[in-house]
Amino acid sequence: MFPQMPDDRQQQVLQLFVRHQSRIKGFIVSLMGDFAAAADVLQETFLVVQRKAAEFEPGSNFVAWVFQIARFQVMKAQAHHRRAADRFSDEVLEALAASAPTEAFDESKLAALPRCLDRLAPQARRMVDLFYEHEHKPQEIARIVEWTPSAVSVALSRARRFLRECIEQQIAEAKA
Amino acid sequence: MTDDRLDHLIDAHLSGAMSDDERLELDARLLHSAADRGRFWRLAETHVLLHEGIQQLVAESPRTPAPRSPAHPMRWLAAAAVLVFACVLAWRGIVPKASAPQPFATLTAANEAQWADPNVELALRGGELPPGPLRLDSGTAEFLCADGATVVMRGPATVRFLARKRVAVESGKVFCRCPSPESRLSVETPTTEVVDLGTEFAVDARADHSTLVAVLSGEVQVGKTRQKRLHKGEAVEVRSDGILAIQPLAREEFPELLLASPSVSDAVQHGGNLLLDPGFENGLSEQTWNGTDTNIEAIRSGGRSGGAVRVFARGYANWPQCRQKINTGDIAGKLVVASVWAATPAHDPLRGRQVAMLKIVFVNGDGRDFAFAMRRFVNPKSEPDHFEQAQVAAFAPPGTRQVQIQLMLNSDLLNSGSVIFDDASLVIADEPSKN
Repeated sequence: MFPQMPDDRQQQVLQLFVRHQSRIKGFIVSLMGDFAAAADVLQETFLVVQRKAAEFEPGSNFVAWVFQIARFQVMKAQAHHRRAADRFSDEVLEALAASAPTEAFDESKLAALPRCLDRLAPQARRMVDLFYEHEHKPQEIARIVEWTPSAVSVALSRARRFLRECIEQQIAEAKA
Repeated sequence: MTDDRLDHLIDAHLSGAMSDDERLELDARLLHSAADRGRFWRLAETHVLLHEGIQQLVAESPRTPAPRSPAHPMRWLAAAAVLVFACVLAWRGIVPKASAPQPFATLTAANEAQWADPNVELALRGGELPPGPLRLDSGTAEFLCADGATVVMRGPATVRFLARKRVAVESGKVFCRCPSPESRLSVETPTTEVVDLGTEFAVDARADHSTLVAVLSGEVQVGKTRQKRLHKGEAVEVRSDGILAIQPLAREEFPELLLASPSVSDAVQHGGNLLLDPGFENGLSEQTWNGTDTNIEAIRSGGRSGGAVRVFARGYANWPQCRQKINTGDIAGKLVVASVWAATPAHDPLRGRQVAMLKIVFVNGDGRDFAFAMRRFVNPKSEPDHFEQAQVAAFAPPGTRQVQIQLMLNSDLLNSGSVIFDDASLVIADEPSKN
């Protein structure tokens, strides 16, 4: 069965979704910590948003509205996780969704990223590439590089901290 | 002022590497502190920026991007049309859903399997079932479904495990064996559906959108709207217009699929055991059994009878293993069959977290490994201290000069746990008859 062609409201909501999809996917990725699952939840969220388009009140905060839908989709997707450690509790998801920033990403941070990536040590860069480009999980990376999974997690954590500080420094220098 | 502990917890979440205690601690902090939630979103922003930025860099890079999992159909900042298209596909059930909590099937054996996506191969060999279609370019791969059915793919084939009892064959040849009522499968192809009624059957989803179904034993029900029952020895061609044409089974249609199955029957074995000290009665040595030195030990008791070898994960090695290499000369085209018995000790605290692997490796004249077949066994349902036998078979590719049998432990990257192997064999069989 194919979805019906969107009416005007649906078309408007669709355009808003596409415009804000970076922020929406970022929200889902942050809550799930799993890129593959987050991509699927983004699709499910889109379908629900499309079905509920008539419920959206023009002029209200579209991103905040979608975040609430996405939160329920995250909960639904994670309902059958074997380990409680792999997911936030429903209460925490609710609290995080209510506090999530809804404004668009700062493009200057994205622009500063390539230069900062080049400054990473080779081993750290490899970890970052395996995790963020190839989307391997720490256990898979551990197999590839013959490290322990905890060593991989530590390396990723350090790389993120370095990059965060580097990006902030780049932006500060640009403003100065 | 930063809170290192909070940062550590958030980082562990973002990396997908949290312990139960850490999760409880992070949940409590985020629930009760608005400042901690603010910190979470600040650190998560770097995580999201990195993913988005690196994906953009890869997309803009002139080099060929490395293969990625087909579970990620949408690129970051994809055009609206792409998003809509992906959503329409999802609506129609074509795009895979989120990962299942438990794998519907596990790769148990592979014979010269070449997967279209190396990431898929990595996940499968690690005992996982990645979401999305599994595209096998060549070779064979055998899966054990959660309820006991066996599914063998022969490349080129594309298969998707939809649920515990549902398999979609998008293209290519697949052989299914459902040994018990609870293991019965329903197999979907673009043209038709096959419901197992207790049998062994093969399905060929062809490029012309027709499907051939052949029943080797028992019976199946074929068809979505107009249904037919097929019995042993019958085959049916289902065309895209839904027409069913039942015909006697042409034995030539599937023998290569069956013969290339890593579960090939004992009946094809005729040769003697080539291994030295197959029962591990004389310990380890360079001439017989050796391997990753820090991970193997010969044991005098605890085997099926007398000695055995224990492969353990202590001291972390990528693939702890015991192995023996045999000079075979040119055996191209001959069937090589390896078998071994294995068990996990009852007192092993990690029992159920590890599996045994039996692998045949083909070595060329330069001493290089260039092809292999493997099988995983001793799964979490296995009874402790109970020895199970595994067998793997493969046709020796041209260029083979040596064959190595490897008895391996997959410990799920944990630093303990062990498997005991005993009574191995390596046989070069005569070329099996096609009839």
